[in-house]
Amino acid sequence: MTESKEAFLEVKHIRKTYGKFTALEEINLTIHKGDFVCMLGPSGCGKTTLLRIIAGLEAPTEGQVFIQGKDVTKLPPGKRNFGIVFQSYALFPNMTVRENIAFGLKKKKLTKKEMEEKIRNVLDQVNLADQIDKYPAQLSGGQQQRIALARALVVSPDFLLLDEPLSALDAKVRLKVRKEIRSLQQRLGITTIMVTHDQEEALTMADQIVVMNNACIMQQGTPVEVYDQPNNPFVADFIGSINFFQTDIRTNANLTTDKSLMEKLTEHQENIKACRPEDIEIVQKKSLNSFNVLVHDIEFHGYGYRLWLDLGESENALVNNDYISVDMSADELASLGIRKGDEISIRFKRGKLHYFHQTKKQANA
Amino acid sequence: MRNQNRKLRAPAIHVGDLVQRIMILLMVFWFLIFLIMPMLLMFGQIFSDDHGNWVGLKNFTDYFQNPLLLSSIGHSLSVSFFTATVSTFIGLLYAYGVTRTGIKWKKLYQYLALIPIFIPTMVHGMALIYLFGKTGIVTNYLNINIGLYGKTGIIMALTVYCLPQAYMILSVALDNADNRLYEAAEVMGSSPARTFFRVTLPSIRYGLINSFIVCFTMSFTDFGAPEVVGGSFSVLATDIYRQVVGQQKMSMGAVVGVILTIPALISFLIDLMMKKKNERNELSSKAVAFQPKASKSRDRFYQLYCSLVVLCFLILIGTVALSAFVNVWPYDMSFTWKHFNFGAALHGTGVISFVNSFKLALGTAALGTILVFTFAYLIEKGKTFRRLSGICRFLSMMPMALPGLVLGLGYIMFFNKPWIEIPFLHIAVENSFSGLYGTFVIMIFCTIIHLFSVTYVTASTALKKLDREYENVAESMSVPFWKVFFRVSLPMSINAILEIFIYFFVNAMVTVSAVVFLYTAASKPASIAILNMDDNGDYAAAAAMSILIFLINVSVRTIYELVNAVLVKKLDRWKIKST
Repeated sequence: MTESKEAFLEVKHIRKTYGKFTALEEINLTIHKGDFVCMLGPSGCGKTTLLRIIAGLEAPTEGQVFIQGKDVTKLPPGKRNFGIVFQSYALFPNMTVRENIAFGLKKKKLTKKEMEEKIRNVLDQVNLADQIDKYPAQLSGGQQQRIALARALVVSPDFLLLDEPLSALDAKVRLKVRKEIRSLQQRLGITTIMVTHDQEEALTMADQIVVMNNACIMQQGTPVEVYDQPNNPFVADFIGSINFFQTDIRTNANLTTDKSLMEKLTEHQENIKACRPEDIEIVQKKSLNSFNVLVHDIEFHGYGYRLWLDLGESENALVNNDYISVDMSADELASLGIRKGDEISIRFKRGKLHYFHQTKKQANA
Repeated sequence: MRNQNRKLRAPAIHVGDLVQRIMILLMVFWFLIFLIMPMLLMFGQIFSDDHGNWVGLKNFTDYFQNPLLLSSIGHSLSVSFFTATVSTFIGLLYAYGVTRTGIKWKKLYQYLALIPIFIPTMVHGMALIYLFGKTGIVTNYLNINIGLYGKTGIIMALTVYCLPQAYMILSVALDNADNRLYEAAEVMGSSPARTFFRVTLPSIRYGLINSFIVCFTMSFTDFGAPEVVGGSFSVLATDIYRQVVGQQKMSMGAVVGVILTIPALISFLIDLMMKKKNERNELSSKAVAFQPKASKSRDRFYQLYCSLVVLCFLILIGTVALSAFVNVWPYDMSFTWKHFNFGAALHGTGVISFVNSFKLALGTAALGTILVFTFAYLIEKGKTFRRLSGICRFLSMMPMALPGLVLGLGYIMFFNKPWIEIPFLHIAVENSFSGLYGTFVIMIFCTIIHLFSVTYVTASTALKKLDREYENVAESMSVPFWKVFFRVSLPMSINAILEIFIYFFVNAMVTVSAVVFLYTAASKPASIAILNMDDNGDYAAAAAMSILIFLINVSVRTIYELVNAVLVKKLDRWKIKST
């Protein structure tokens, strides 16, 4: 999907340490022109540091950054031609929206008219042309966010850096601004790198997701790739919800279980197995490829029910939960007539059972 | 690998960076000349005689064999201990009344509590003499002799001098109350006394200790009050003055200076340690403002108490004012303007002194504000030479531990020497700064350094509140840092800047200790003139001069309050809404 595009930004062998603390370890990354890339990871994983190194606000301990094939590692931020939106927006509180946006334009020798035109244009892009004479404090969080975006865009940057731009917003506003940023990015076709810890944000907005943890890149791929084919338990767990289990479930298998599945289970009997809740279906008892489980509990979740299933194994049956979770709609539950304590059969959808080595090394179904 | 490493470390230099580097180097240079060198020479002096010959610890043995000098240590300690305890106690009740009760005229009490900071310390002593001294009205007309001269008088004068500080520190501590804690205590049925000891007191513990050590250090290093009401009761601060000015014994003066510095240094260290601990105690952002419960008897008590304290202040300043306008206190109480001529006193140099003081205060305030704010900006927001900035941060806090007298002494020792000898090497370097000796500039610089720490804290606190990313936004757009400085940091910190300015002005107007070794006949400031007039028996002229200083300070402060009120309205528009 991305092969045809040219590489826009490359990060090579980046390492960053603060004293004894390693913030980034051997980071290699290629970002293609026009892509919306999300750097996703828990707090403290190094994603913001990586963004700041790309911006030139921090110097890497080792390694290089290339923009359009040119080594920019030693270039100051101003020479890299990007726009940046910080988590706090960093709008100048003592300047109006107009003055804020004009701040970066002052350097380019523009006439008053040209400047005003540019400001109007960019404000139209973010639909805030009517707020031009207000101070940041008079705007809502979402509006401030878009003004920060406008200020970053007005200098016509080559690429855009967003540092957790949505985290300070209310949940509802966040959804709205998320859509706006994405559609603006697509309209302008501007290469964008966004740092976030919110997996839903990353999944819905990004062309490419870079999952990071403990100073390392864990996986890079399209949202579908990282969701459906996680490289390691961390990625599988961090994005979406997933059931891990270690127990050898061959004893729970019905006699009809097919040979190839059985072989795989045998081969991976020591490994961690994982399956997302939506990839587990409830089937007729003793049907093909099914496993017998006990219904431990049923939780109401509004949109439907979550079933907690007991594999019948005692200790350490599961890695992350005590029981396997499966989601189903209210209608489905009613028609199947499942109750707490029932014995039912489940089946993992074809190809959706993942196997991971204990050492977190790559392993896949 | 290492080589490549080093290459990467060297960041590309662009104009903003270069300017910043030069400015940081200038800052280091400024500290070197006006703080480090004088202090080095001052501490070097304790090991040499007055001709600069190395004598080892002889000065110290001399000092400790002199019972007269030695007794001053005890005097200073006991006076300071008393003063600190009394001021903290009186200040605590006053601050409690203003912050935690329902008394009337709170604003008025807040302002009137500041009266003593507008006049030099010896004026409090003079006022006490007019009341309780040999010819004082209380002594003569009421026949009550409290034995003012000596310890009693010094403690009384210093308590007045320290009270505003104690009050300010404690009211800040008491203001930081979380109403939820008090509601919780009430719900659990805690008695008011128990709540006070278990909730209030622990929350202001830091303020109490801080108030005590600030008052202790202030009294320990004060020169004005003991000079005027001390009589034959000598303290370290008067000793150092006698040794240096009276007997020209520089080395002995330096030894006393070092001893004078010890408590200040200790309290400086305690303060540093406590600041770290106190960070945990700070209020959470969810704290609810304290609402005093209704209690008539409590309010009546505090109303009376606060009025009494204020009345004392008013009587003191009123006495000084009155004595400036009557012919001969207390015998001929008819009105006259004649003391404001300053004709007879000090050969008519009074008016010049007053102009000098105004020039000194204005110069200190203008230059000091620029330096403090610029330095704080470079230290807090700068991006280059971080290690040097860290050293400068420490240097900015150092004057807190240096008494004004010691600074002044260091200044004579450094700026009075045309050649600086480097010890053990027998090399002498020409001192190109010796030309500053006896100039106005040196008094201004010494006063700036003397008042540097408090103002630096104000500036850096204001700057820390600003988003760190402002500079980064500018950098990402290739806009140099000074644009952010002038267009954002400066206007956003205007309150703090005004506060720094007024602090410099008022304190430079009343300082004695920082300039007492540095003035010349032509550059003598009013605070010193008061001291000289008092020495010469021109009491009325001294009072007149004090009143002039007081009026100037009060009017500058009033202008400040007015400007501030306008600014607060303007700044409200910018206040960042919490999201």
